[in-house]
Amino acid sequence: MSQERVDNLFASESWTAVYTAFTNVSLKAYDFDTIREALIDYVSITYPDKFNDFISSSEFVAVLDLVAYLGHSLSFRLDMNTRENFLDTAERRESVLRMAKTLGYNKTRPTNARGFLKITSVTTNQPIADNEGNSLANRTINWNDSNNADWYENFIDIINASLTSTSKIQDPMASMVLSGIENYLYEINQSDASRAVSFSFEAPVSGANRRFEAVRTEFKDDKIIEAEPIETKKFTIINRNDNLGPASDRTGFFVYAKTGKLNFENFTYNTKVSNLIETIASANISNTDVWVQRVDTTNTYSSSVTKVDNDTRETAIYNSLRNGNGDIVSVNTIDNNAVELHYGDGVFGNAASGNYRVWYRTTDNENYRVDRNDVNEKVISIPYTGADKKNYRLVLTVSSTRDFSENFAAESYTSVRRIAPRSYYSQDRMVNAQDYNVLPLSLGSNIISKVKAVNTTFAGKSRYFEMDDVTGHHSNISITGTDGAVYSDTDNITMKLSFNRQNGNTTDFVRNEITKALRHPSLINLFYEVNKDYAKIDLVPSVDFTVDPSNKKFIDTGTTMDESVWPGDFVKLELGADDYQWTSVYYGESAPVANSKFQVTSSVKKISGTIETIVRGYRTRLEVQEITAIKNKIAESDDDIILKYVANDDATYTAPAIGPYIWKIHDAENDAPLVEGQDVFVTLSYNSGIRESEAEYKIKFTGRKIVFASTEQIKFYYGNEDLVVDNETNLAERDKLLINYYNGDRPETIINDTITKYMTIGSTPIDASSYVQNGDSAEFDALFANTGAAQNLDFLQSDNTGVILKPTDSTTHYLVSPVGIEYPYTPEPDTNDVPSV
Amino acid sequence: MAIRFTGFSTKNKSAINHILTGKDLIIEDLMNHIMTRKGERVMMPTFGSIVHEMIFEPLTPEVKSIIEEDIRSIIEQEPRVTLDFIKVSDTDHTLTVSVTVSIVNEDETVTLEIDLERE
Repeated sequence: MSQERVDNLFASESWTAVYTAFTNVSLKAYDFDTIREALIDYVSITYPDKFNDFISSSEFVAVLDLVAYLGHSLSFRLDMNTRENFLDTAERRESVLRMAKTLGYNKTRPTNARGFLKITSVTTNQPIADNEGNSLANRTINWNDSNNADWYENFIDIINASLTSTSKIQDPMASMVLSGIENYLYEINQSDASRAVSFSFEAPVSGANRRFEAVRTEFKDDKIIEAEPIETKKFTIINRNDNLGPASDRTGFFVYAKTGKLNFENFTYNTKVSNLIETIASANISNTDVWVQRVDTTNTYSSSVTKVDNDTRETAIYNSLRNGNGDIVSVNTIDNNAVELHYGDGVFGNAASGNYRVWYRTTDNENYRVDRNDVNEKVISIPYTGADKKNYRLVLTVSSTRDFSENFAAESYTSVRRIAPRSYYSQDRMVNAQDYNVLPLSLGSNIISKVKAVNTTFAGKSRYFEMDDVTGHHSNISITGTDGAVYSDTDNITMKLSFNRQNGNTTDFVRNEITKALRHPSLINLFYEVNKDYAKIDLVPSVDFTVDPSNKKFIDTGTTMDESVWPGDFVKLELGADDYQWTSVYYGESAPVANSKFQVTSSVKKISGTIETIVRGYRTRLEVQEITAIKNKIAESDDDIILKYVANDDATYTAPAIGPYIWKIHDAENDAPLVEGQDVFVTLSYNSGIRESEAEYKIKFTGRKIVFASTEQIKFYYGNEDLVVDNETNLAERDKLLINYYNGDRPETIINDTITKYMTIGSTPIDASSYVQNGDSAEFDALFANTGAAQNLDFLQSDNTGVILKPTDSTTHYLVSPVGIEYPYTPEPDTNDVPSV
Repeated sequence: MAIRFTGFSTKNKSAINHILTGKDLIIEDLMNHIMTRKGERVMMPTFGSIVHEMIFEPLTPEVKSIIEEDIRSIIEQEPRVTLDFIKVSDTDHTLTVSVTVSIVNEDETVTLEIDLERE
C-alpha cells in the first residue's frame, strides 16, 4: 500500500486522493497513549489473522510502544515549534522576546525610581570660619534653621569650601529653568584618591529596605539627568529655587538619586568581531541605566559607545552618521530582565574590538513609590580636597522630596504579546486613532496602562474654541456670536399611524398610538405659549405645607387649597429665603389627587414651606372617558376626527373629574371654529388604502417650535452617525442648547415715542418699524434683521430707577421648555430703559 | 472455542518467520515480562520485574518472599496462565526461580526455570 502511495505521489496525484489511504489512521492521536491505542487499533483491524497478542509483555507491542513514544516526542516538538512561532501562543520567554525583537519591539525592563533628595544639613571637618570668625569645622549646619540666624551664610560657606575652583555659589557649572524652578549645578572637588561614581545608602520604602544611590548629574536637553558614570568626573549637587522661600520642598541644595545598585563588567576583545553579542546576565537591569564605554588597558575611561535602538543595516548607518562615530551598541532585553549588547557589524557600525566597560544599574522588579520623607535624614560622606590641597570630608544629610518618581516593575510577557504587534503596526508614528491608542503603551505597561483615543476633528481647528472637540461630540462647546436670534415659530407636523378600523385593536391604538402625537414637543410648546397666562397660577397668599418625614414626597397643606392640584401639574415650593424647588405632581393611578394632600415626584428638601405657584400640566395620558369617546368616534365612521385640548367645561368629564383641561372631540357643526397655532388640537384623517395593511390614520397638527438661528457666526455641526452614550444611564445623550445673553453696548434710551430706528434686543439687531405704547408696555412688530423671522414682541417697561414694573398679562414673554418648565424673562437691574429679551 | 493467540518474536528459535503461536507464545510473553527490568520499558515505568536487582542480595527469607511476590504479581497480569508453584533457590553463582504454571483452557502445565547469573 505504501509503495502505491509513493507511486501516486510521484505521479502527481491529487493530495486528497493519495491520502485516502489514511482513513483508518487516527490523526487525532498526538500523545503516547492515544498513538499507542491508534497503532494497536490499526494492527488489530488490518492484520487480525497475523497478530492478536496485544498483551504488554508481547515483543511486538513493545516495539509499538517505542513507535508511539517516538510519535509522542515528534508531535510534542512539532506542536511546540508551531506554538512558539506565534506571539499569541508562545510560552517560552525567549521566544516571546525574539519575536518581539523581530517586530522591533524591546521589552521594557524595570524602571528605577529617581528624583531629588534635599540636603537638610551639612558638616565639614575643614577648618573654615564664618565672617565673624566663628569656626564652622565639625559643626552641623541645618537648612532653614530657626535657631541659627546665620544658617544660610554658614551653609553656603561649607558648600563653597567643598566645591571645585571653577564652580562656586553664584557661579555654577550649568543652569536651567525648569517648570519655573531655577536649577544651578555645582561640582564638589572630590579627592582623586577616593573618588566614587555614586554614594549609596538604604532606606525603608514600601515595606522593604531599598538601596539608593546619589549620583552625578548633568543638565541635558532641558532635563536633569544622571550623568554617565565616569570615574574621572566629580560629584555634583544642585541648587534649586522656586522662589517660595527656604521652607519650600523645591528650594535649597539637592542631590539627584536613584534606587538600585550600579555595577560594571569589563570585556576585552583582542580581535575585531563582527556583530558581537555580549550578555550581561544580572537580573532586573534598569531600563534606562546602561552605559557602554571604551576603556584603555588600565580600565580608564576613553570614550562612550552610543546606545541606539537598532543595530541593523540602514538604521545602523544612520546612527553612525548621526552620532559622528561608529561606536554604537543596541541594548536588548532578554529573559529575567537581563540584557544583550549587540555591537556593530564592522561596516555600518564599528565592530567590537579592544577594552570595554559596561555600567548597569539593577533595581527591584516591583512597583512602589518613594514619597516625601520616605528617605529621612540619610547621611552621605564625600571626601574632597579643599583649597589648601588637603583632604577633608563633607557630610550631607539628605531627605526625599515630593519630586521623586515611582519605581516601575518590568513589562510583563503578557503585555509584550499584546503590545509588540500593535507597536509594529503603528511604526513609531502616531497618525490615526489606533496609533494613538497603542504607541504610548510601548513605554511600558506600568507607565501607561490604558489609553483610549477617539477621532474627533480635523487638523487646523480654530484656536479660538476653548474645547477639546470642536464638533461638540464629546465635549461641550461654547460659541460666541453677535447675530444669534431666538424665536418661536409655527411647526406643522404630520404623522402616520398604522391602524385598520375594521379589525384593529382600537383601545391599543388610542392608548399607545394617538398619544405619540399628543406628546409631541411642538404641541406642548403650543399649549404653554397659548396658555402661558392661564396655566400659571401664582397662589396669593401662598399656601403653607408640611412634608411627611417618613416619605418626603407626600405634601400636606393642612387646609383645602382654593386651587386644586392635578396630576402632571408643576408646583413651585418656597423652602426658605431664595430657596425654591420645582417638582411635578405625581401621576398616579387615581386621579385627581385631593387638594389638601398630594404626592410629588421628587423628595422635598425641607419638611415645611409654602406653595408659591402651580403651573398646569399638559396631560398626554388619556383618561377612560376620553378613550371611550375617541373609540366611539372611530367606530362610528371614517370621517376626520379633531381632538382638542381645552378647558374642562363639560359636565360629562367631571365624574370622576379629570382635571382643568381635557382632550375632547371637536364638534365642527356646533363648536366655535378652531384656529391653527392658537388652539391645541390634532386632526386624524383615515385612509383605508388599497390593501388592508395600508390602512392608517394621518395626524396633522400645528405646534410651536423654539428656534435658535444665526446666519453667519454660529454654526452647529450635526453628525448623527455614531451616538454618544451616557456612561451612567447607557442612553444616547441628547444635545442641549443653553443660551446666555451678553448685553454689551446698548443703544440710547428708547421710550415714549413712536420710533423708527434700527435697534437691538439683547445683542440681536432687529428691524422695528414702529412700536405702540400699550399701558405699562409697548408692543411692536419686529423683524429679526439677520434671520428674517417675524415675531410680535412685547416691550417691558421699567421705572426710572431701573425696577421693572409688574408685568401684566399682555407684557409677559415666556420661553417654555418641552417639559413645561418656564424660563421667564428676568431683567437685570439697569439704569437704561432698554428693552431686552 | 478457545482463542488461539498469534504473536511475534525475533529471538525465539521456535518462531518460523518470527511467528509464534499458542503455548510457545504465552511462555515467550511471560519470559519477556520477567526478563524486563522494572523501569526499562518506555513510558511504562512499573512494567517488569525486580528480580534482577535482587540477585546480589543474600537470599534471606525476606528477599525470597519479595522475589516470590514479584513473580506472582507478574503471573497474575498474564490472564492466559494460572500459577501453580514458585520456588526460589540459589547457588554460588546463580539465582534460580522455578515457576510452574498451568495454561488456561489447555490441560497443560509448564515449568519455567529462570536462572539469573551473578557475574
